[in-house]
Amino acid sequence: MNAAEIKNYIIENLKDKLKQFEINSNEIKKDFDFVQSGLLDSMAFVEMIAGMEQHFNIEIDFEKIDEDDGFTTLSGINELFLKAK
Amino acid sequence: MGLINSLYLYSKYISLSMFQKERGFVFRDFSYLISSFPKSINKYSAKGKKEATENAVNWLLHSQKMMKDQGFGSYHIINKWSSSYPETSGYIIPTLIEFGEKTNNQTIIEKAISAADWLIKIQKESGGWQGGRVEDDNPEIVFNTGQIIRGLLAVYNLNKEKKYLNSAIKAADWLCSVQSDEGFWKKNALMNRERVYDSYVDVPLILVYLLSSEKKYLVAARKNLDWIINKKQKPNGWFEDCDNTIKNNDRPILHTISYTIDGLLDSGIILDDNKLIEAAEKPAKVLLEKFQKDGFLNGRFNSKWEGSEYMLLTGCAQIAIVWMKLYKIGKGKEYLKAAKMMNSILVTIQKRSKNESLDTKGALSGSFPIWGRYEPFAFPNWATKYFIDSLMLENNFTLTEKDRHKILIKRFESAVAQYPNRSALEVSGKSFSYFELNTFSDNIANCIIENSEKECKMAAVLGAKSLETYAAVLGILKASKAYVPLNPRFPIARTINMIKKSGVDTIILSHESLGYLKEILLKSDFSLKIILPNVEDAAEFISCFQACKFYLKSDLKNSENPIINSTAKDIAYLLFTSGSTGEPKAVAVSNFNVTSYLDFISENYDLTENDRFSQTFDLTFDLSVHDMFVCWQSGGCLVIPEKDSSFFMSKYIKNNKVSVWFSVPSLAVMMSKMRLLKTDAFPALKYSFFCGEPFFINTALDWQKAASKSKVINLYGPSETTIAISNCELKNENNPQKNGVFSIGKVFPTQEYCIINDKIEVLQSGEKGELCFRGSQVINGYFNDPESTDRSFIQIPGKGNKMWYKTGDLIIEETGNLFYLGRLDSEVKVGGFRVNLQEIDYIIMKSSGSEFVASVSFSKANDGVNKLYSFVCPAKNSTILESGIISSCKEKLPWYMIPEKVFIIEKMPLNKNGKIDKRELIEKYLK
Repeated sequence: MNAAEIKNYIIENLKDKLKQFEINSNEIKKDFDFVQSGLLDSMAFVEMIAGMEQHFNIEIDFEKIDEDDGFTTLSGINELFLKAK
Repeated sequence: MGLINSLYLYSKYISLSMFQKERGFVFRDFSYLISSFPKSINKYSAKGKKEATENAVNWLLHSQKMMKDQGFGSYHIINKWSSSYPETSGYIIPTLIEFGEKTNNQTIIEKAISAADWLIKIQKESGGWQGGRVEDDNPEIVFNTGQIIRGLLAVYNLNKEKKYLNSAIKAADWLCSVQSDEGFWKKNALMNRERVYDSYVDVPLILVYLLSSEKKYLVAARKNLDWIINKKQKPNGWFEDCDNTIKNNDRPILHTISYTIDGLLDSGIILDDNKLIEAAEKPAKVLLEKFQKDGFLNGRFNSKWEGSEYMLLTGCAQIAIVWMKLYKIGKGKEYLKAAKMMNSILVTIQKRSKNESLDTKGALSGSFPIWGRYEPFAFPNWATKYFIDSLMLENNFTLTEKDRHKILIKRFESAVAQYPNRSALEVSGKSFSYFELNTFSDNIANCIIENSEKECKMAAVLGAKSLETYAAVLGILKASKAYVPLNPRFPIARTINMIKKSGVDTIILSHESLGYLKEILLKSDFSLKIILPNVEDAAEFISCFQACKFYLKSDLKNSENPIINSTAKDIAYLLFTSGSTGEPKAVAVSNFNVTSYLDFISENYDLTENDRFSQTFDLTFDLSVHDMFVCWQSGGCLVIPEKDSSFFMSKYIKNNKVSVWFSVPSLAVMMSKMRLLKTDAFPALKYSFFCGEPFFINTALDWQKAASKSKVINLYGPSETTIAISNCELKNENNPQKNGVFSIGKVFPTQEYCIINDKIEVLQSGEKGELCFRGSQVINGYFNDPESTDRSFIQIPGKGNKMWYKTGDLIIEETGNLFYLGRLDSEVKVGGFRVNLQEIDYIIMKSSGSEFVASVSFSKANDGVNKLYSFVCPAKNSTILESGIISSCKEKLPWYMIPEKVFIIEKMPLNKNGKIDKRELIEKYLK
C-alpha cells in the first residue's frame, strides 16, 4: 500500500460524488480537505475510512488523532494509513 | 378670617378625633412622621399588594352598602358617612368591573352594574349629571358628567346593552352643547371657571366617538386638548387653571394635576398623537424626579414646581398610574420602579390593625398624615378607587411566584442569584461565571430594549457556538422577547425567508458571522437593527448598509437588570422545520411549554450545580434548548466543544469531564465506528440522553459499555411538543425493542397522548396508528400559519374540545411501551434533522422543470444512518445534469437536506394507484 493506491481507492470510491460536485480527480491535491470542502459529512468520511481499513486490512487508532492533524485532507489520510502499517 | 376659621376647625377636629374609635390613625400617622416615614418604607411583595387590593375593594363595596342608593359615599372620622357622589360612583364602576373580571367574581360586577343603573336614573333631562354629593342637588357639571360616561361605557363594553351606550351618548351630546368656541368649558364648570383637568373629560368623549363613529365628540375633545397644550401649559410642563378652586390656581393640587396629565396621556395613546404624549410626559417626569429625590410628593405645586402641603394620597395613586402608563409605552423602566415604590408607600399607609371597623378597613385617607389639608380626617372613595387602579396596573407588570417559575429566562436568573460565582459557560478555553454571563446578557438586553420596536415580539441570533451567541439568547429573553436562532450554515435564501416570516427587527451576531450577514443584506432590503457585541469597529461595513442601524461593543454599556414582563403564554423561541409545500413551518414554543419540559426533567433526573453539560446541538435544533436551560436551571456548567467537529467528541467528553451528555444517536454510531466507545471510556458520565432519530439497541449497549456509570436514556418528541415528550431508560437486559430499534418508552405522565387511525378513531394498545398529544408541552399552533395549524391540530371525537397535535409518526403501543415504526407522511429524519421529502422534490421540480421527481431516505447498512436519494425523470429535450440539480438544492436547502445522490432516470416506476413506487426505486437503484 502506498500513497498512490490510497488516492486511487478514494477517487474510485467517490466517483459519483466528485461528478456531482464537478470536481476533477486531478484537483484532489495533498491539501484537499474532504470534509471542509463539503464533499463529505463527518459520518460519510468515517464510513469511507472504515471501508479503507477493510480494503487495506489496517486498523486505525482514532484515539490518537489530533485535532490539528488535518486528518481529513488527502495527506492526512495518507499519514493515518502509512503510519499504521 | 379664613385662617382663624381653619385653625378653629383644625383644633376642633383634632380634639374631637381623640374621642373617636378611629383615633388610632392620628397616633399612628404621628408615629410614622417622627420615624422619618416614608424613607423607612419596606417594599411590599406581590402578595402583600394583592391583599391590600382586596381590602380596598371590600371597603368600596362597604361604602356602597352604607348608601341609601347604589352610589358610593365617603367616610369622615367625625362626620361619618356622606351621601353618594354620582361623579366618583361613575368612575368607580370600571375599577370594580376590572377587579371582578380578574378575580372571576360576578357579585362584584353586579354591584358595579347596579351603580350604573342608579346613575341612569338620576341623569338630568339635559343629559348631564349634578356635581358634588347627591344630597346637595347641584346643577350639571361637565367634569362629573364625563366621569359617569366612563362607568356607563365600561358596563356597555361588558354586556353590550344599548341603554348604557345611549345614556353615555346623551351625556356626550350635552357636553358638546355646552362647550365654548375656544374649546374649554366655562359654563357648567365648577365655579364657572375653565379648567385644564377637563382633559380627563376628553378621554370619555373620544371613547364615545370610537363606539358611535360620530365625529363631533372627537372634534370637541380635540378642541379642548389643543386649548390645554397650546394655551395653558408652561414650557416647564406646569398648567394654569389646574386647581379645583380659584384662589389656589397658582398652586394646584396633585389630584387635579394628575387628572390633567392622565387625560392628555390617554388621549395621546388612543389618538396616537405624540404631541399629547409629550405634553403629559413633561410634568410626569418632573414629578418622577421629585419623588426619586425626596421619597415622597407634596400635595400642591406652584408654577416653579415647588411643592407645599402634606402628601395628597389620591394624587399619589393617580400619578403612579400615569407613570406606569408611560412605562408601558416604552418611556423607561424608572417610571415603573417609582410607581411600585409609590404603591408600597400607599399600602403602608392603608395597612392597619386587624380589628379595625369596616368603615375604615382597607380605605385610603385623603391625606397623609390624616390631618393633612386635603380632605382632613376623611377617606374619600376616589382615593381608594385610584389606589386599587394603581395596584391592579402594577399587578399587570408583576409576576407572581408561580408565573415567574413559568418564564424561561427566570430559570437562568434564579441560578445567577444562587450561584453567581460558579461557572455557567466554558467556551474557547475560557470560563464565564453566572455573574459574568448575566452582566453581558443584560448589556445586550438593554440595547435591544432601547432600540427594538416594542411591538416586535422577537429578535434573531445568528452565530456559531460562541460566548456572544449564548449571551444573545439570554439577552433577547431578558428583553422580554422570543429568540429566533439563525444558522450561518444555512443557504442565504432560507435565512432571509426566516427573517421575513418571524418579523424580527433586530439581529445579534458575533464577528465571525459578519460575512454571512453581508450576503443577507446584499440580497434583501431589510432595515434591521444589528447588534455586534464583540465588534469594536465596523465603520466600513456599516457605511455599506445605510438602511440598517448598527450597535457595537461600545454601545453596550447599560448593565442594569431589565424588568422582565414576559408572560407564560408568550413565545420563548421560534424554530423552523421542513414543510411539505416548500415553505418551512415556524414552531412557536411558549414559556409555558418549555418550562413544563424543564420541570419534568428536573423532577425526574438528579442534576445539580456540579454537573457539566454537553452542547452538541446547533441552536436551530430545539434540543439545544435542553442543553442550555437544563444546565442553567441546575446551576451547572455548559461546556462548548472546542472545535465543532464530531470526530473529537470522545476527547471532548474525557478532557472536559462532561457528566451529562445529550446528542443524536448518529454521533454514538460514528464513535462506535471509530472504535472510540471502549470499555469505561467515559467514567465521569452520569446521564446520557439521546434524541432525534431511531436509537438502535446495539448502539445504546455500545454506549453503555463506554459510559458504564451513566444512565442511558432514549428521548422522543417532535419540536411541536417541546424538546421531548417520552422517555425510555436502558436496562441490563430485556430492553423493549422492535427490529433492533429501542423503544421510545412512555409518554411523560404530565402529558396526554392517544393513538388514532385515519378515521380519527382512538385505537387500543397493540394497534398501529398515528400518535397524538396534548398537554402543557404541546404548542398551540404554527406561527402565522393557520393552514398548517389546521392540518396538524385537530379535535378527536370523545376526547373533549381541546386540540390535539397529530405527530405524523406511526406508532404501536405494546406492553406499556411505545415503538416508532415510521412516518405517515413524506417526512424523514436525517442525522436527527426533520426533512420533508416533498420540500426537496419541490426544489428539484422547480430547477429541473420535471414533474416526475421522488426523494427517499434509505439506510444502506440498516444502522439507522439515513441518507437522501432523489430520482428525476427529466422533461423531454431537457439536458438537466445531476450537478445542476445539486447546486440548486444548495441554494435553497440546508446541508442536511441535500441528496447524497440524484439519479437521472428514463422512466419513473408507478404503482397500481398511479403513484410513484418508491419501494421499486429503492430495490432497483439502492440495494
